[in-house]
Amino acid sequence: MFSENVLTAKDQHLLEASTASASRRRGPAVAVAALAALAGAALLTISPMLAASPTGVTRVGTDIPATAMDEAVGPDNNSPALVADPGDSRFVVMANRLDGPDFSCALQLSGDGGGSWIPANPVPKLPKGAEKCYAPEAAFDRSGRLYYLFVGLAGGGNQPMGAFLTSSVDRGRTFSTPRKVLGPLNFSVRMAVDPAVGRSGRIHLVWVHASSPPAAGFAPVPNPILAAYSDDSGATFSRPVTVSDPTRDMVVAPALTLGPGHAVQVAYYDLGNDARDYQGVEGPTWDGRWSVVSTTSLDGGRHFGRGVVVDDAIVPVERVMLIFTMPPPSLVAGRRLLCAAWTDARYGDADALGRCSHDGGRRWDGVRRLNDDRKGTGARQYLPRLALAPGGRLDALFLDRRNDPFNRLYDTYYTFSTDGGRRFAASRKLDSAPSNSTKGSQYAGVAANGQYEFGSRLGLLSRRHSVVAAWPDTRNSNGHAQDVFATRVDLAGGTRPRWSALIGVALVAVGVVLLVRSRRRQPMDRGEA
Amino acid sequence: MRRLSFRAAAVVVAVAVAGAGCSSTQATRAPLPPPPQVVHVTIDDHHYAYDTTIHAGRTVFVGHNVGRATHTILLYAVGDDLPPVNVQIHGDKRHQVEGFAGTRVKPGATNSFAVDLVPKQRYYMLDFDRDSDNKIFALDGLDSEFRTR
Repeated sequence: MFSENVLTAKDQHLLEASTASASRRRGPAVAVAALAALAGAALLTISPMLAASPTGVTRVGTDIPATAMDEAVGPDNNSPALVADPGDSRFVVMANRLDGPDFSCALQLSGDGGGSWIPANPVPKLPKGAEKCYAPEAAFDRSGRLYYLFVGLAGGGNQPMGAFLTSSVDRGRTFSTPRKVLGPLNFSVRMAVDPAVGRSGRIHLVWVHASSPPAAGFAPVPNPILAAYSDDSGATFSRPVTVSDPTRDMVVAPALTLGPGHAVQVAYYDLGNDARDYQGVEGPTWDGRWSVVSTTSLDGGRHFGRGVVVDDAIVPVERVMLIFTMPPPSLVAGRRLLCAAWTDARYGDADALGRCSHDGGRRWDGVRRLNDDRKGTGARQYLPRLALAPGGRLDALFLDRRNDPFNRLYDTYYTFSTDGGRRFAASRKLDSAPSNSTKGSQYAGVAANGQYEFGSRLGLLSRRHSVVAAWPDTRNSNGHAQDVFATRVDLAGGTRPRWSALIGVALVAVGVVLLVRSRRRQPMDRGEA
Repeated sequence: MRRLSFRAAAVVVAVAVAGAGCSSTQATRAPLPPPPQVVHVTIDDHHYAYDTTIHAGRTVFVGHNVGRATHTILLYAVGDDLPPVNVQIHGDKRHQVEGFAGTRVKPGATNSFAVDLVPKQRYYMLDFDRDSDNKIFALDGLDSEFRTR
């Protein structure tokens, strides 16, 4: 017999072993509880990205004018680029080009996510030496600073005399004095901002550098595509690096986009042996093939890898109006997904074609037609624009003449893919009135004499369950003027419950309860000892 | 040690949950751009109906055609030396004015155009489409004018 207050050494040993065992049992319990709560929190964080895939277009909004008409002047508004403030998606800007009555540039602002537009004046006074503002680009940094980049033109031949950067910190009300960021002989300047690098973002520029002053086209020497970046809001830029492969002589029309992990993606045309278009001399449409080439920088723009051929069987549709304003391929980058689109006559008439890569640009899927009309009807589909929604949906916009047997009137069509560009939904017409492809400024150069300028890009802004689209529109033109019209498209899927969020909440709750219970049991354990 | 790990786990969870709930902390920024002025114009076969209190600046005219024929809203910027629009349109001596902007609207349809209106400027609004008798609608009531504020 022994008193209940007296423990033998054996009992003591057994009790210590039991306590240690309980502690060991609680250790994993605490860890599991914490892990559950953390997993729940993580699920809550990413749940907006896991929303259901769209099943189709639910509503095409009323198309509205985003630019102002003045028939007495006859402005040719085209080439819209849509960009949203990363900190407030209601603030959207549209930078656009004017090809008539003279070259110019413009900026429109929207405070309701692209539902309505008012004008801004980003360049109230041209920089010294510049006579015109042209080919604008727009981008936001992380702080909401709006950058507006343009090329200054001078002289009777509208020679670029530099690229200039101005910015606004008050949502487009005022702009800084434009700063020259590139000298003359630099063409097709593109801009994008990686908001996650540096103090407020890294500005990337990509352009074609001419080795000597070009005339209608480039001189027959290599004129490479270069890139540089700025981490100080454009005050200084890095030393330019070469983007295009040195073995490719005739490279033009770069497209720039930024991918996850600060990847800088560039796509460009390699015209092969097409010196006719490259030099802008007279002659029929080139009967050879062009290529689209993509290249990537994985170190934030310091170096670019060797180019990968996206497609090398591109059949030109017509002569290039001006090699400096040639529409670039459209390029988008997501998580391992990279897609490019261009206009191509390989099936007998102009189609909007595209290819996607699912390994970051190393290998590319087969070519896809974005337009879903019958092949070979003669109806043109052209100027495709791609955009990637936060959930991974690939959106595409293009101009389409399928509804006019005379192949002159065009509508603007939209389609999307939820499987990374393998299949596309039925094309959907967005405008309420067609436009006339023979209204606009006519090109006067020998290379493409008489062709109508309709710009080098369409505007497409992808959101989780909607897109904003913008295109050149001539419905209200009595002469040669062009407006830009815009509309919003809603996609199904936005109202479905986010199960991931509910699971996240449940996991957090379970984790917290387990933690609290484990905490409450500790004093009892000590008392037993 | 046990207490420390419990507290550490609790702090990590709290921070993570708080982070999940505050995914977009927005800095104070300038006000959003205002929407443009929108002027709704209802068009029947003999009349434009709209609020003529119109301010200068970006303005979107939205034409709603409730008539039976296709109609046009055409704006003309005119000087103060010109007579009232109904006098001008019905008069023997018409002054030449240059078209500013406009849109054509089919019956039952809506169409719009945008303009940047000048302060204190006078504008005619006219329809030069023709009816079945080949008479312009402007002579049959589709004539109007306004002056911007």
